[in-house]
Amino acid sequence: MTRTDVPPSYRNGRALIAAALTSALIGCGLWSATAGIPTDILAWCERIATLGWFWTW
Amino acid sequence: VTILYVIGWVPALIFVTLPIIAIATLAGLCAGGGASAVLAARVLAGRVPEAIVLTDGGVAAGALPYRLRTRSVRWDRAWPHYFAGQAALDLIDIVRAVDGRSRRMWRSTIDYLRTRDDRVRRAIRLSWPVTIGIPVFLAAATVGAAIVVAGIVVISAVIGGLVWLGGSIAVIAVRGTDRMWQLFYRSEASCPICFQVTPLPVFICPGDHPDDPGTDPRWNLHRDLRPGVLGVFRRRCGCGQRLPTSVRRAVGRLPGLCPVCLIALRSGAGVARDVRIPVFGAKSAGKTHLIAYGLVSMVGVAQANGLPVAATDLRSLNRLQDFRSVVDGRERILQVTSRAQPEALTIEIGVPTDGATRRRRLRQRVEGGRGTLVHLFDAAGEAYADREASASFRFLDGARTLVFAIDPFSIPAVRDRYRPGHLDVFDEAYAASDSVEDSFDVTIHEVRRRGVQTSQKQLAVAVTKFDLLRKIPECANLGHQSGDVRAWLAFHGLEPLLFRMEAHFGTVRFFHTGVTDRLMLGPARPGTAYAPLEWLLHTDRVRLGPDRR
Repeated sequence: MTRTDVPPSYRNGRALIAAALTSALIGCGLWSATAGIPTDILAWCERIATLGWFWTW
Repeated sequence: VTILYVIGWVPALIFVTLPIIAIATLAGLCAGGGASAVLAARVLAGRVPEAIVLTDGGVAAGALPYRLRTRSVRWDRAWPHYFAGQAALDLIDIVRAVDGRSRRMWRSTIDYLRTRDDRVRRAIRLSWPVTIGIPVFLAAATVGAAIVVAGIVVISAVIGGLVWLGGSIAVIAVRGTDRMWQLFYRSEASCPICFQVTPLPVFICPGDHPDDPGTDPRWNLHRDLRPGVLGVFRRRCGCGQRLPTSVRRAVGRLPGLCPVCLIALRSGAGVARDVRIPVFGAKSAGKTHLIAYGLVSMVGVAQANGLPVAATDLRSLNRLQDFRSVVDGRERILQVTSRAQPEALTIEIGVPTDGATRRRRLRQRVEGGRGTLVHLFDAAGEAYADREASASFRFLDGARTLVFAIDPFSIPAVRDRYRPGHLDVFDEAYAASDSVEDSFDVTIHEVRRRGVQTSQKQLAVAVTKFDLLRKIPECANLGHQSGDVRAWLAFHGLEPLLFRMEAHFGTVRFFHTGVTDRLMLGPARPGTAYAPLEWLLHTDRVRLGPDRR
């Protein structure tokens, strides 16, 4: 190990944080998919694009 | 014109601006969040060159925000646990990186607009229902980045909290096990030179430690190798070497040093039961003979019971050989103890492994622990009557058990009563010249003055030269029991001294020893030099043979 390297414990700790963040991201994605949020967003985008929001307002 | 302008923009506001704002917001949130995630990943992957790293050198320089047990002890040069400092620094780096990128994004946009000529700037101003999407995008990106950073901080805090909780439990468990071991086996390490008693030796890292200008030249030393922020189960030295993080695991694997004088401790010090027995008394009271016969007997008893015994250092080995020569009759005179340097003779007694049954072997291991180090301290008798010299005898402080040697021929009442009729015996006895009371009082006064609680210590009082004393008919029938010896001393005018002994010490027992008579050498026989040692070893839970009590 050279003086500028970090020890394995640092790499392990960072990997743990990264894994937790990735898990949280995947968890949020799965939860939102279950709750139908992407479908809602897509529908909302479609309404904006077709100005549907204006006619139904 | 103004009314027409306003009327003309109303449909544009409805059909263009509001959709642009909505789309810019969504796109900004996604872009800001995504960019933050990428920046965080770069920091965690160590791809940010300007990131702050908490190094072993930083720890040694005091960069860790934790307090040490004592201010005089510096942090050891070792890498800290990731969650002890670097995790927080990484979070700071992530926040800084995202903040910097966000500021740069705003600044570059503003700078771009500022550097355009007036015609372009006017066109942008006039077309604000469309160009409003730019600041909306920037604001949404900033908010998205902040949301992701907040999420990273919360998740890191949760993970860090869980690691700290688990780590703290493990640290308490390992430290507690270490301390319980030392309390149960009474295994605090003692220095052979300065006699400092410590539960926490300094350990030497066996790795390569080249000179590093500007830092501690002895950065191979680990002064506090207990579990903590520098590692729970293992520690990584600045040189890269992995070290165990408890005294129990370090002893035997790493060389240990005294934390005060940095002298090498004996093998096993810190985990082996440590029995320290100073023998004190006036000059020519027979201390060295008492130690010689007691030590040779002790080694003989241990060996007879199948216990491995060895001197731990060359000086102890040489002295033990000298003692054996005297006991075997090959030599007659023991070398007089040096006044300059008190002598510590150390014998290591191992753990037997010859139990007939598994249960018995297990019991032997539990009782024996990691062996026993028995230190017998001998110092020149003149010093015990000298307040200044006695003050330097620190080995008395750390002992739980002490032996006070009394030369019966130096007691004034004995001299007055028996000397006229037994001049030859008194000549042979070479009686101590210093007063018995002075040698006790000066020594104990100094020990108590240093704040040592003698009431928690055991004192064996050994009346030496009994082989000569019994040549006087009036003393020949002196009983072997502690009460008999005490009564004899009290009868000969030492009652006030005996009261003081019993007032100062937790337990006091009286023995008489005839150390120059070979017939009196043997295990557990009354009158042997081993008898007081056996009692003191017994109070320290050391049994070298079958219990005879």
